[in-house]
Amino acid sequence: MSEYLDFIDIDFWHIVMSMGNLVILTAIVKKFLFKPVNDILNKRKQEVDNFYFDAKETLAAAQKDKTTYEGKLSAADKEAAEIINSAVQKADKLTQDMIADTKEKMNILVKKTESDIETKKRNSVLEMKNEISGLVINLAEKVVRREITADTHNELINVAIDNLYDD
Amino acid sequence: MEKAIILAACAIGAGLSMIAGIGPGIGEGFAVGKACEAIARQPESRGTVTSTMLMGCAVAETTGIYGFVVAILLLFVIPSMFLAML
Amino acid sequence: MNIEVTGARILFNFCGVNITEIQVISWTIIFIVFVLCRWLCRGLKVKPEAKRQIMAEYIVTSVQNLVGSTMSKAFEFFSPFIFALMVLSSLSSLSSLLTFKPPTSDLNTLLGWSILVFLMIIYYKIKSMGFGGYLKSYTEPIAVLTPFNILSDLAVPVSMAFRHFGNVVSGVVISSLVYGALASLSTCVLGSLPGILSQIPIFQLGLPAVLSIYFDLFSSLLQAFIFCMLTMVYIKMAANVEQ
Repeated sequence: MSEYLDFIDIDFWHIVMSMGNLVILTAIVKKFLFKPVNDILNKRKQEVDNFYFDAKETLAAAQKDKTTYEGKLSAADKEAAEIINSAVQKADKLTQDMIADTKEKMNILVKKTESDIETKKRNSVLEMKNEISGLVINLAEKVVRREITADTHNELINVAIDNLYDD
Repeated sequence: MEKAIILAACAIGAGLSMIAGIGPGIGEGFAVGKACEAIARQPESRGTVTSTMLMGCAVAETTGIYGFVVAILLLFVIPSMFLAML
Repeated sequence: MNIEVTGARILFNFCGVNITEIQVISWTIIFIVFVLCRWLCRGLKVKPEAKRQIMAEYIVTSVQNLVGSTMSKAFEFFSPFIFALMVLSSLSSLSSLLTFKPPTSDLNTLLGWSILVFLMIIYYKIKSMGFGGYLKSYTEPIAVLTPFNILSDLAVPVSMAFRHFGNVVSGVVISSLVYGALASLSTCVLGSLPGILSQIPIFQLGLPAVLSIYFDLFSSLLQAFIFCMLTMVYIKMAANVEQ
């Protein structure tokens, strides 16, 4: 059968059929293309969201760890600084003490030496006095033996006794 | 004789109906000119301008298409209808 | 030379309804799209490996983006309809490349689609402003304009159908005119040759391809796109959605 429709031949059933074709194609496309692809897209979105969530959690945990370790680190730093400080102070004190000790000892030594020197000086002066007075006495005896008389002798004794009292 | 008159009238009518082609021609010419100006002013928006212009041109073409459909009807459909009526 | 411009060829009669070749072509297109969908969506994975999955996702997301940007995000459930319209329209028009009669060159097909769109427009109008409001909207701004309002409403499906129809038919008619002219030119030039040589239509070889590129490829794809865009815009206007 090879008949043709007219060029413009409006037919109710053809219109209905074309509508039906469009509706059927819409249903097919919706069921077999849009739905599965959208499902997959949603699933992927969910997965990516989960991934991001996990990553965020991990990041938060890591930051927490970091802060705790930083706190620990700073505490350790402080401790070390304290230890060093105290050690330095101790050392300072020790040095000061030692210096003070040494100074004291030195002072004592100096004083002792000075007093020694003083006593020795006095001793030597006394010795010298004794020697000189012995010499003088010897000399005087010799002088006196040669030229002394009884009067002068007495006078001399008196003078010596006076001097003695004077001293 | 009547057949000849009918055919002649249909042919003349088809020719006259294609006068409708003037309107879309002028209108689309304006549209394309404006689109060229727009592209010259903002070459980066070439894609948007071109697609919008094509869309507008196709819509503006409608009246010309109506005239064309009428011309086709007068040339190929209506003569046979009238001749069948005779 | 005699050029006949006719409607579709009637293949057989089913319960008083003439089944024409365009119905068969439409069903074939639907079947092809069905097979393509099954093929594209075979073995979908969350991490795509096959190229066809990427293609399917690209198609779906781009159609949804188009619908979402033209109408609104709330109307994304329209994207299967829009995609079906686009595919059916463009594949129908492209079937003329395979020397079939394109279903879009039959007014019934396009009237069916545009009437479906028209029904949707009415549905969304009633949904957005109520049945009373819908009836009342015809008497605005004054009651005298009621017939013109009704006419302008009825003009929507008719203009949509005739726009697409005219574009495709113009291609078909002009192509057939050009083929006829070239055939007669061939017989003029080669007619004096003896035997079968006079029947070779050498001029039909390359020239119609240029026309075919415009009328079959460019024009039909553009019209399919415009049909979809107009559908979306009309329904959006009817539903009165805010962007």
